[in-house]
Amino acid sequence: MENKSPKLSLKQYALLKWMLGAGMGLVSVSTVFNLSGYSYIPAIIAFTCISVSLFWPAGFARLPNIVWRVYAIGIIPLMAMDVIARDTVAALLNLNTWLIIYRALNHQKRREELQLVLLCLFLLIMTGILTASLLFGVQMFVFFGLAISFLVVSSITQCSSELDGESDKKDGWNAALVLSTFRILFRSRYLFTGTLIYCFLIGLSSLVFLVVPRVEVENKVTLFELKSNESLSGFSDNIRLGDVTSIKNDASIALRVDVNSSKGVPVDPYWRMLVLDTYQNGSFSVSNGLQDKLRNTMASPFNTVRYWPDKRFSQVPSREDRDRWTVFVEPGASRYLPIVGTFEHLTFSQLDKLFMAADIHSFALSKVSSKMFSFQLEGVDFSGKIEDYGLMSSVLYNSAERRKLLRSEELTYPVTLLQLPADKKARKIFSNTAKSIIGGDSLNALEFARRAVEFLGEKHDYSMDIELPSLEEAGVEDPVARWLNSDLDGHCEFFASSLVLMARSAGFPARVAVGYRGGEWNSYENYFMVRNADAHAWCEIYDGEGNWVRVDPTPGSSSVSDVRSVQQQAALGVTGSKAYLDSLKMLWYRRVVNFDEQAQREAALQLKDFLLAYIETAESWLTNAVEYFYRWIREPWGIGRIIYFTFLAVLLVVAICIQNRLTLNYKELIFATFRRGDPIRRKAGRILSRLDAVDKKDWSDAKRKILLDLQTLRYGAKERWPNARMTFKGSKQL
Amino acid sequence: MTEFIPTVEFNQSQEVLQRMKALISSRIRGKDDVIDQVLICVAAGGHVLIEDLPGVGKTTLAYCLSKTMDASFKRIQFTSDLLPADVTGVSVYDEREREFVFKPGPIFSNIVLADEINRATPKTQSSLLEVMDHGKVTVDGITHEVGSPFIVLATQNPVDYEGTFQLPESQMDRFLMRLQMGYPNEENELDILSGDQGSYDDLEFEGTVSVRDILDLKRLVRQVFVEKSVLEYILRVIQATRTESEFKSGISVRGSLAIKAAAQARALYMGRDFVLPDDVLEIITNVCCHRLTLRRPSSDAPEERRMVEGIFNRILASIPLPR
Repeated sequence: MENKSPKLSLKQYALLKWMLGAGMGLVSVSTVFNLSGYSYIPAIIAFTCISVSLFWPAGFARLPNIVWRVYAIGIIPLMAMDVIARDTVAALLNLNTWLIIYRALNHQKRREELQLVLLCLFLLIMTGILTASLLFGVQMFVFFGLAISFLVVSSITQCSSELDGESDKKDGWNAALVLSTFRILFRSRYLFTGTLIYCFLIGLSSLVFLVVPRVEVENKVTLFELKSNESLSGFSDNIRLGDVTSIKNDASIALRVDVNSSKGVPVDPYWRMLVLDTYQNGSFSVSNGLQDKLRNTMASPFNTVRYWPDKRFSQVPSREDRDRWTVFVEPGASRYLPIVGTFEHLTFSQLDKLFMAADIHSFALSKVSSKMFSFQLEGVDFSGKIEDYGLMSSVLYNSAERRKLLRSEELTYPVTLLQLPADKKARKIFSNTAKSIIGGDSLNALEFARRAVEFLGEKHDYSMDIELPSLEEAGVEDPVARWLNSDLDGHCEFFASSLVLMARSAGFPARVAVGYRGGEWNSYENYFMVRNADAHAWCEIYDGEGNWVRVDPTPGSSSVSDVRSVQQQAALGVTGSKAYLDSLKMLWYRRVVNFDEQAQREAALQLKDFLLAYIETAESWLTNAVEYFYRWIREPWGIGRIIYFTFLAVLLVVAICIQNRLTLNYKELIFATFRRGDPIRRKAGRILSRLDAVDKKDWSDAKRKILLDLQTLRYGAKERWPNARMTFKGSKQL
Repeated sequence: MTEFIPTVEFNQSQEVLQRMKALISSRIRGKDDVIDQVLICVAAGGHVLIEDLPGVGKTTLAYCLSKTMDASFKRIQFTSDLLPADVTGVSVYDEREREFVFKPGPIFSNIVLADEINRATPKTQSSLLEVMDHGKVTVDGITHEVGSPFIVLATQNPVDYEGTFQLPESQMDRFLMRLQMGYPNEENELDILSGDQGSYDDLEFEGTVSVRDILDLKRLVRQVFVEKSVLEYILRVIQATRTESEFKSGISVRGSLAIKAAAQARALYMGRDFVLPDDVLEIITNVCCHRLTLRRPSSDAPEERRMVEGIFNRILASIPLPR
C-alpha cells in the first residue's frame, strides 16, 4: 500500500487526550449555567482555567507542586463556608466544580483520568436532575462522545509506557503540532468511523431504552406467539360457566389498578370483562352471534360515534379534571379488558387492536397480549347500570314477537338473552320457582331480582366445594335446576345462573357477567391487586327502561353504594413484604413500562423533589450539629470541665501510645477471636503473601533479615520468634 | 519438638553441610541442584536412588559423597547372579572354635554404594529391605547392627531393560529420594573435558567431615520446627495422591514422614530452624514420584515417569500453599 494513512504520534495522542479532557470539563461545567439561583463564580473560574489550559497547557504544568497541594487543602474551607451558609446543594455543586478544576488540570495517571470522567459525569447528572431540561440531553450527548474518545485515547496511550505526558506538556505544543493532529483526525476515514461509532452507540442505547418497551414484539417473533397461545389461563372466547371456578384456583395477580379518584373507591369493585348469554347443556357461554359482534371490524373504537357519541376513545388521556382508573393487565391474563363501570373516556395506546361490543359493554383486544398492557378510564360510574344500545330490548319486550323468535330452532343473539333450558322439566322448575317468588304480584324486573336474591340467600349458602343431588333424586338432568330445587350450598356460578334462568322464565331478559370482584388494596403504593382467585360471576337484568342492572345474588356481596376514600382504603389495605415487593413492580409499571411522557416528567420531578428534600434534611442535621458544637464550645469553661477534658486527652494519648506499642492493632486483636490460628502468624503470612510478587534479587542484607524474621513469625517455632512488633514495623519498608 | 536447636550446634551443622557441598562441587561440575538434594538426603538420614543413563556421573557422585565423610565405604556391584548372602554376609563354621562365626558382608559399612541395583534378582534386592529400614541384618536368626550412620546410595539405569529386574514397590518406598543426574551443560562439560580426571580411587579430599558430625546432623534435622499449617499442607498433598484415580496407590505413611524429614533437612540446609512451604515444594517431587505407580502402566519407563510427574504436579497446583 503506497498511500499508507498517517498515524498519530504519541505526542499527538497526548495533545488529543488533553484537549478531550478539557472538553469534558468544559461541557460539564457549562451545565452549571443552566441552573438559576446558584453562584456562577466557581463555574466561571473553572471555565476560564480550563479554557486557558486548552490553549496554553504549559502554563499550568509549570506551576510547582506545592500550589496544587495548597489548592487541594483549600477546597475544604470553601466547602465548609458553603455548608455553613445553609446551602448544601450549592456546596455540593461548588465542591464538584473545584475538584473538576483540580483534576482537569492534572491528570497523568489512568486513575486520575477516570476520576476526571466520573467527576464530570456526576456534575452533569446532578445539574440534570435539578433542571430536568432539554438542554441537559444535548449536553449529555456531547459529553458522551467526548468521554468515549477520551477513554479510547487514554487506553491507547496507556499501552505505550514510554510516553511522559508531563514533560510533553511542559514543552507545550505549537500550532504546527495541533494543525497536523487535526489534519490527520479530520481525514474522512477517521471522521467517518468516529461518527459512525458514536451514532451507533447513541442509536443502540436509545433503541434499547425507548423503542423496545413500545414495540410489538409478539407480532414479529413467533416464540411470543407460541407462549401467548399456551398461557391462556384466564377468561377467553369460549369460556363456559364452569370455567370461572377453575380460574379461582390460581392465586397469581391478574391485574393491578391505580386509582386517582376524589370520588372514592367502591368497597367491592366489579371488574367486568365479558357477558355470557346462551344457555346450553347446563351452562352459560358466549353465543356465536355475540362472539361475532366482538370480532366485527365495525366494532372498533373508530366507529364508537355510532353508539356512544358521548364517550371518547383516544390514545392520550383527556385534560379534564376527573377520577382516573389505570389498569395494568398481566401478560396472558385475558384478551378482555376488565371494566369497572361505564366511563366517559378510555385511553389505550393501540386503538386499532381494540374491539368493542357496545350492547354488552365489553372491550377486547384482537388477541391475548403476551406482554403487560394498560389502559385508563376516566369519569367512571360504578353504579352497576349499563345502558342498552342494542335496540333489541324493545323486541324482547314485545311478547308476541318474542314467542315467535323463541320457537325458532337456532336462537340468535339477542334472543339468546331469553333462552331457557331445552329440558322441559328443568324449565318447569325455574318457572315454578319464579312464580312462587312473584306470588301473583305484578313486579318490575328490579323488584323481582331483589326478591329472587332474598329467596336464594335464604335457601342456599356460599361454598366453594359443592355436591349436587343425584339424578334419580332430582329427577332432572339440568345441574342448575337440580341445585335450585335442593337446599345445598353453591358458588357464585350457581347463584348467578339460577337467578338469570328464573328471571328469564319470569319474562325478564337477563345475562351472566363474568370478571373479577374485589381485590386487595396495596397500602404501599395505593392500588388494587386483583388476583385470578378473585374471579367471579354475577347477573345483569334488563330493567325495561333501557338499562342493564347489575345484581349479585352470591351471599356476602355488599351493596352498590358503599364507597370509601383512598385514605380509608390505605388504612385497610394489605402490608407486608410480599405487598411491598409487588408495589415495586407497580412503580416500575407506572414509570417505565407505561411510558407516557407525562409519567416520565413526573418521575423526574419526583426525583428532584426527593433529592431536594433529602438535601434539606441533611442540611438541617448538619446545621444543628454545627450549632450544637458551637454552643458547646461557648459554654463557660469551669475548672472541672477543663480537668475532665484534660483527662480525656491524656487517655487518648495513652491509648495511641499503647496502640503504637502493640504488635497487633486493635482491629486485628478484635478479629483474632473470630479467626482460626495465631493472629501474629496470620499477619506475618499476610505480609509475606504481599511480598510474593516483589522481586527480592537485589535486596540488602537488612531487608533479607526482616524477610527471614517474618518467615520465622509465620512458620518458625514460637520460642525462636523475634520481636514481632519490630518485625512488622520493619516490614513496612520492604 | 519443644526443644529448639542451640545456636552453636546450628552453626556447626551449617558449616558441615557447606563444607561437604564445597568438596563435592569441586569434583562434580554444574550439578549443584543434585548435590543439594543428595546432601539433604544425607542430613535426613535417608537412602538415595540415582537414576539415569550410564556415564553421567552417578557413581562419581556416590564416590565423592562417601569420600567427603570420614566413614567406612563399600561398593556392591549388583549382578543377576548376586545372592543375598553376598550382600549380608554368612555364618561359616570355625573348625577351631567349633561354632558358627558370622562373616559380615559388604553391607556392614556406613555408606554402601549399590551400583546398578536393578540388575540383581528380586531375591537379592529384598535382602536390602530390613537393613534399609532399621539398619539391622538378621542372619540365621541373629540380628546384627550395621554401621551408624547407614546410607545406601543406589544407582540404576532406566532404559536398559535387558537383564534388569524392576525394583519392587516396597523397595522403592525405602528410598528417601529418587534423583536424576542429567547431562551437564556445555560450559561445564568443556570444563570436564579439559580437566584432568583421575579414577575414583585417587579421590582424596582435605577436611572431611566425621561420622559424629553426620549423626549430629541427623539429630538436628529432627528438631527443625514444622508449623501446623505446613504439616496440614503435606497431609493434603498425600491425601490427594491417595484419592487420585490415575494412581494405583497413594503415598504411604512412610512416604509422608519422608516428606517431612526431607523438608526439615532442606530447611536446615538453607540455614533455617523452621520449615517454609518452599522447602516442601523443593523436595516433594523427588520424594514422591518414585513412590507412585500408574493404574494403567505405560510400556515405556521414561514415559511413565513423565506421566506420574505431570499428574503429581497437577495435584500440587490444585492445593493452595499455606498463607
